[in-house]
Amino acid sequence: MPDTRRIVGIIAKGLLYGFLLWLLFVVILPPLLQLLMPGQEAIVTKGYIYYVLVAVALGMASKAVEGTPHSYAVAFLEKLYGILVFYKIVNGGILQGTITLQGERITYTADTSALVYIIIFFTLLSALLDIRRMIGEAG
Amino acid sequence: MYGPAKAGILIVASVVVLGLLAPLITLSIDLYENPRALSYMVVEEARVNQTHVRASITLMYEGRVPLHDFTLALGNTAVRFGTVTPGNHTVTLVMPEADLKSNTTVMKFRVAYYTLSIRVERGAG
Repeated sequence: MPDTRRIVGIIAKGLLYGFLLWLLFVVILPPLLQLLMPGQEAIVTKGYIYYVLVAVALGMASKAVEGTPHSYAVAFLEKLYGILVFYKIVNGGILQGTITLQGERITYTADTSALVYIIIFFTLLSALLDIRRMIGEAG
Repeated sequence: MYGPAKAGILIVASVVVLGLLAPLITLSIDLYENPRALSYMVVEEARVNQTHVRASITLMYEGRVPLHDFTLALGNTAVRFGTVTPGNHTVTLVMPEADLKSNTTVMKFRVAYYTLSIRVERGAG
């Protein structure tokens, strides 16, 4: 019985991660991008199902190794995956869009890569703490 | 040990990201509230020869954030304004008449750490 509960927990956590990513890609991001940058093309919504599936797998792995030193390795992988997804969402910080206003076509490009790299730096710093913790507990 | 370290990273990251975003948000608000906060005016002053004219280009900016390395391209002619602060900035130059009547304008500038480019095509919509 405890095994069944554990398996259900693993699946539930995976699905929860997938659900959160679906919320992000399908429900939250497209209207938010349109609001912030009118005319912005939907960057990630087309292939979102693959991102969701990987998130489900990572969520399950995270639950399966919970409480063991391996959990920090999975946490590190989750952060790396988060970085990749974030980088993809924001197109490496290059945001483009086109709007038509009173007979004028306005195309804008904003290079915000400096900000993207700063966010990635801090996420990696946090991920490295997970690895340091794993090494500490294993030793 | 790891909990406080992670919390510290989160706090520092939040402060740094908010600080980096502030100029971009300020400019967005300025342009949203007043779309004419960044505009320009071209006045043809005199004809130099059959193909070139002397023109004065005035850039009008009412935003709160300085715009660095500001370049305004009219057709194939690029006009450099350098750092643009609130107020009017005028540059007089000799340029091809065809560029003066060009339907395409490109504005390029830097706000803090971000490079922005705005291309306007008249009669394209």
